[in-house]
Amino acid sequence: MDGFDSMTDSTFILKPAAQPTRTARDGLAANGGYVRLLQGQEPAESMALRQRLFDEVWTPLEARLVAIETQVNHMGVREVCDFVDSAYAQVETKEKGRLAQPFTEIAAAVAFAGVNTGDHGKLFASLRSELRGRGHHVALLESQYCGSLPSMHRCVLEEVYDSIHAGDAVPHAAGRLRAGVHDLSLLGNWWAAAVAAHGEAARQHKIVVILQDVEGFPPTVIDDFVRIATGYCDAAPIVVVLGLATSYECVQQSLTKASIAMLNVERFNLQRSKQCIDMAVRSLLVDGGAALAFGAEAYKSLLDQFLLYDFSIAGFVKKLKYAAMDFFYAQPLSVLAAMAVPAGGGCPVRLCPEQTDLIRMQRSVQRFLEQQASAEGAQYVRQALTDDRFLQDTVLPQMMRRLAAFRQAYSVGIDMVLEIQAMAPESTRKPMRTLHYYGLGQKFDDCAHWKALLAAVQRAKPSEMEKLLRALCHVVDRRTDVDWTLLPGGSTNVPQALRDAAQLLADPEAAAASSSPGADDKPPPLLRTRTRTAMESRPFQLFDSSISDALLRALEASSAAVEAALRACLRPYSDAPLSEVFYYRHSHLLDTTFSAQPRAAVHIALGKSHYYIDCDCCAEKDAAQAASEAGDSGYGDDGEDQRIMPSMGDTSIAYRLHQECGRMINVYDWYSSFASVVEGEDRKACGAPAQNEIQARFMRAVEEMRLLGFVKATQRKTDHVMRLSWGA
Amino acid sequence: ARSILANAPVKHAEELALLDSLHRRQFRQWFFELACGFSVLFYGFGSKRRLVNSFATQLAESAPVAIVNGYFPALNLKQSLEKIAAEILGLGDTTGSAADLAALIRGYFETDSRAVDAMYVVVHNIDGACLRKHQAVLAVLASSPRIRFVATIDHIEAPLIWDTSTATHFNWAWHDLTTFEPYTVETSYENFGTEIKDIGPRGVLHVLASLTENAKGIFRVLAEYQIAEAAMDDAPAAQRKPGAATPEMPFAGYFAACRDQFLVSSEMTFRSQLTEFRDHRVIQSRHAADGTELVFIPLDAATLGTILESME
Repeated sequence: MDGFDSMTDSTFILKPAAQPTRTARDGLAANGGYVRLLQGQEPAESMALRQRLFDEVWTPLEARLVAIETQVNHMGVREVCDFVDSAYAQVETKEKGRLAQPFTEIAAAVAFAGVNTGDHGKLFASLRSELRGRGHHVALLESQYCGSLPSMHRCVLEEVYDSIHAGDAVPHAAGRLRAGVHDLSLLGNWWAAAVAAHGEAARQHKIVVILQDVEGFPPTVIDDFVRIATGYCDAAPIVVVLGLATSYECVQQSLTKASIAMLNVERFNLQRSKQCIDMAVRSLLVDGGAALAFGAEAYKSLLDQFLLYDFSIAGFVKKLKYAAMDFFYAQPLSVLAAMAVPAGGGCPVRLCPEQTDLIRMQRSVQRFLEQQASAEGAQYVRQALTDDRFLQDTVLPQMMRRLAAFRQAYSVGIDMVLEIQAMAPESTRKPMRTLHYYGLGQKFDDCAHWKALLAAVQRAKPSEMEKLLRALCHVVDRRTDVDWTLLPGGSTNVPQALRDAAQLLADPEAAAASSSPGADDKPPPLLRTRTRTAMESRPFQLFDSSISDALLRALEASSAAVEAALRACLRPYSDAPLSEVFYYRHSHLLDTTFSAQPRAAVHIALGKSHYYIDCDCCAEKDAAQAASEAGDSGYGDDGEDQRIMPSMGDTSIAYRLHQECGRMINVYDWYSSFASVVEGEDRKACGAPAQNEIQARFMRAVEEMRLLGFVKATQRKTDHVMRLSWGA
Repeated sequence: ARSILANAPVKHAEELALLDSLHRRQFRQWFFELACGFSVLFYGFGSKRRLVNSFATQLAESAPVAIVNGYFPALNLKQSLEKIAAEILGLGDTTGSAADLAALIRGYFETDSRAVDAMYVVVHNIDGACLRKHQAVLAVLASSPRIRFVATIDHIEAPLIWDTSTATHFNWAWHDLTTFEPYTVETSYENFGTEIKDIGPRGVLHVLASLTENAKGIFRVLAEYQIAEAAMDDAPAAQRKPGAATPEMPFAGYFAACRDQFLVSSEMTFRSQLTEFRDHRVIQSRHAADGTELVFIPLDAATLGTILESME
């Protein structure tokens, strides 16, 4: 027992001291939790810079993400809003005025929002604000607050009440509505009064009830609500929006036929998370600045979070944020991001020797210096390796410029791929998120998709090729900020090569004449020969026999130019200087932080304790004996798992023993085995453990295993417990 | 048994001390994660109570901290939230269910003119038996950017208690906090508040789940009577032996109360229902010195409160 444990109370409150003590000022909150890295050798200014840079980098990223999400949500939300606007439209005739419908139906929109329930909050909040913007009175309901019909009615009234008073200059009294009777008749009366006060214009403003997560509502509650609301449809125009994560079957199964018949249903698809992710990848990771990028493994981890779980944008964003946090919290060279942020110039703090040494140790930096040795001479390299000031003031800016050029060229490369995809057959098209993964994860020659696209380019008709080259020239001309000379192996001038190819294709005969061989040279082989290979590579020749040889050569040259341009732009990111610093690689950290496996962790802690406790007493004997016994025991690699040492923890011993049992475990047998192991303990000072001590330790081990969920008590068999787990 | 265990030698003491120091080095990182809007969840073998309490104590230097022991068998979340609202936020008028209270606390941190800028909630064993049904309520708290959440789990199937929506609200960052420390406190409540022969609160809930609404009502009448009687008893709860001073209700009064609420119509029906409760050891009876038959549920008031809340 300590200060936070009691036999009668479960909750304890700690409050900060009125006057912060010195220890409090130096506590966790000092420097926002940041610590000085490099075994405390990092300068304090550098640490403060990391802290500032995180805010400077993440805040705009987050704002862009929110803007993208809002933009994408808006597309789907607009359709629902239009439906609400036009709901209950009356048929007007000159003679009879309004014609009422012969039966009462509630206008209902079924909005399929996808299985990414974590994003539904933002989506439906955006729907609510859009509807309120159009003057409707909206109640957004969540199932957790609507367990019964009265509570649902109360929520409807509260939300509509908020909606009415949203534009008030004087805010209404805070707190929950305390209406004595939570009844929809209140709504009906209020609406009738509003129409009487504001005239017919008020009639256009509907009362919209949005059920955000229909699957979570008790079916009887929705059923009763629909029946009751039908009764008030004449008094007030109620429109229901049913948010679904699964399918319409959910509504059909939970509502009675009578209630479904009262709904005039129209379906809407609001699932746009893939579109949103593609835009986010494009905006943040492909076109983003050089402050933070993702390596192939880390990017795959991000994508897996999205694709393998629930298509949730929130899940994607939280991993992205955690990566940014880790980068600025734990990477001592993240201060270099100051040179990459939009407002950045040089690094505002002087790097310490540990940081400069760390920079020199990066493979990409060594490669860069080797390249510079031929251009700048050995003196440049010597100075870069020995002079910290020279490294920071001269070499680092050069590397940062190359990194920026690399990323800009990569962005141009992806744009070119999109243009090629637009021309290529539908089956070869891939979404942005996949293209970026190919761009990061695979070398150009190893990527089947790039090959498929190049094959499509080679098969292009002259008119298609002409159009493609025009588009590609437009892509590269649009990006005037790219310095092509800074690219790795940067002799390729991509824009010029593409323009030349376009020119060649525009007038192939003139080009052929200007480069015609002399009298002594052998004429080049004719390309118009209709071989099977030629037909496969250029199928349009089957239908167009008038195509000239010069044009075919121009087509070949054009496709070669396109390939060269793609090769130049889509180089592996490891070629970029400082890629080890700026391309985030800690995919394992992201996976363990957001896709943790607690079950496996407990199994490993008990079954293979040496992974956590690197002790001499268990691990060495374990390994040695396992190795010696592996041959004759037949256990092989799992031999060490079978060995139970007295030096192991009590729960670990009990765990290993229980693994040898079936579904029902005889507690006495279990205890006997436990005692036989524990009696072998090497306790020189205390002697062998007494029986009551062994019993107490066994009881504790069993109780802990019950707490962890490995066993549970059972009435089926006397003195037995039931085993619940069979491995991780 | 506790003294025997206290005297037993600790295995791997040095290695565990090293493990502990390595965990403690991460306090600042966890603080940073909390400040960035993540909730921190610890898993792994071994009691995490001591380490997390130490972390909570350091957190309390910057903002108020509420520590909730989820392993406590008579934990009443509504009471815990009332305590948080009263002692940290200074909110007096706290009526309604646990969900209402959570919404109230969350709403407090959305107002601009608040006295407390932020707070931490530390929940030991958020997978505890009394909290499993209240995850949505806790998620409402955790979804507030000004309420920072730290929690631990121990059960190997604990992640199953969260659906996607709840998990999104919690926004967990998971950390392996394997300590190998014995669960001395967490397991010390076994059979807490019950006689050995009794079936315990979980057993009572199982029995009630299979009964009719009227039968549940009969149980509720006696439970509410006992809770009211216990509240009037001014003896400190810590000084009472569990089960020793259980308030008892005369049979005649019990029958009259049930009949008034239209739960039973005749004494014969009432007795047959009581027999069923007796068979399952949910309700017990004894004869007083004057021959009056007295009935009682062999559970303390706090546990009964939790059961009634679970029944709702």
